[in-house]
Amino acid sequence: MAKTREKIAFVGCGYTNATRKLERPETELAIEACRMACEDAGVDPADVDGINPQVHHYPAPDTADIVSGLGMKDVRWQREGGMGIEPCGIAALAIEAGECDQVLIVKIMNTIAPVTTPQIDPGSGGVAGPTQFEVPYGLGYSMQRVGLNARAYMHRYGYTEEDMGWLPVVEREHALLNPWAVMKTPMTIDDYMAARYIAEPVRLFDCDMPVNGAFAILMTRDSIAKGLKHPPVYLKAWAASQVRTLDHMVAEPLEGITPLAEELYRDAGLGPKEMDVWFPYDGFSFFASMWMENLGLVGRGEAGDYIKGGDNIRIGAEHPVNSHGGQLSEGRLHGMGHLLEATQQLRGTAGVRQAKNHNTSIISSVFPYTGAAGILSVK
Amino acid sequence: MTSETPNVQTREGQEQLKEMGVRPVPLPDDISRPYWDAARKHELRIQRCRACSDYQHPPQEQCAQCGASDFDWPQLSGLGTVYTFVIDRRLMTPSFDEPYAVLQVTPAEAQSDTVRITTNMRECELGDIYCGMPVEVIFEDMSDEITLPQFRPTADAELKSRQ
Repeated sequence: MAKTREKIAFVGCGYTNATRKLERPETELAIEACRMACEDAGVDPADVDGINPQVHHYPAPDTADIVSGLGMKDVRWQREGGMGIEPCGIAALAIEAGECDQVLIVKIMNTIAPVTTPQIDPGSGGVAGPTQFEVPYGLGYSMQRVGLNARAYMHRYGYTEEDMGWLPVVEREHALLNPWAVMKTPMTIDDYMAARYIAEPVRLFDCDMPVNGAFAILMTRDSIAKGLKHPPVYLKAWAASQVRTLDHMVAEPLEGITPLAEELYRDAGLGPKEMDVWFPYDGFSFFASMWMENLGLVGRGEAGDYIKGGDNIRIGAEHPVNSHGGQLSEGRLHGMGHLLEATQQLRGTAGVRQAKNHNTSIISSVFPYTGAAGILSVK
Repeated sequence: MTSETPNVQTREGQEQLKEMGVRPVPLPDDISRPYWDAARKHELRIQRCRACSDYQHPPQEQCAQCGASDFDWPQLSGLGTVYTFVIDRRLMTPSFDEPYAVLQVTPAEAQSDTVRITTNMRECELGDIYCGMPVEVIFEDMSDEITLPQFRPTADAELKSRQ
């Protein structure tokens, strides 16, 4: 179910700069990123017949404006929304089903996107539903819930905040090698530790960086992909669970490998030891550690030891982690940054960020308890 | 008047609620009412599945362990341990002044630490809180209808500020 019989590939990558301020209209950004993705692949946008714009703020840019701006002639498949690897799986199914041949997936981010806030009736102060057990105690934000889980994890397995801080530090090192990244200044572990707490133990640099910008990727079927500019990077398999919000404090990360991961590896015919470049979702730094454990890339309780000091996760390592800088330092592109970088890595076009082993990659999206994950491969 | 209703989706809206003196209060529903009714009587009661005897909290329609939907609500001793906690230093929830602690407490009777009651800490310095700290329930009457269970360190807790 979570794979296609026909091989579907990622063939083109497009970016605009991720910026802290909205510098140009979103439609213009989206068109620029999509056009670049097509040029990167060697495809005329007029020949692209599917599109999936993803926004997280309203009013959203009109898909028709993006379509006409790109000069797309015949859009046969269109879908709005989604994030990360899951919508790529849906696009792959649409291509396999013959609904279209090529799909542009474009993530358009704006810093006005709403944050998760306590849901309180402004008149009475009333809080309904599961958060009635939380908001009256001042628990209503994602950072707080992440802080609760991160502290429980560190306590259970004996890690310090500094141990866990190496992931954001190394991601910053990677971002400095990535021209599209929003963060341009170095950050040492001392800088990380000196940053203010938001919801202790969660510090400022444990939270991803809201940005404005558009990132796009082009997908197509193997028969077309083989004739394009770059070697195809295949979506080998994906798995998605029901995405819940963090509104309701879910139980701590599951013990052992998750059912989602088992399904993923089974469908891909590959195991966690065969994953070369890792892209664990890092909306918060702690998510990345949990994803590495939940995907079986490291053992339960071992992520802290694994990331400590940074040597295991840097670009030069056996398995570089978030070589683009992740959402913490490239910017909050809701998983599209991970996907583009995985594609660059696997086709060998990551330049100064190139990993030494790059035949396979694993990507995850959203919350480590309930999100989605996928495997990309050059074969 | 609708134009003056704070937009609770934004931090600014939450700040407005705070200025207005709004205090978030639970709205009991069919599932949660036994918990709040007990609290009103200064008793701590949580859901226990009659089929498998597992406790669960927050209450749900079905037992997360076995799927049954028949529960009793036994009264607990009110003793527990701090499973985890977070210290809010700069977010915005109406009626709360940062910094403040939010804890999750596992009741002494629970079968595992997946059963957790979210609470604040009373009668304790923020710097004294630790995972594993023994705590006990106290009750704070917010209004005629609503009482919030809260927790404070037991006499056995190791408090730096007491030494």
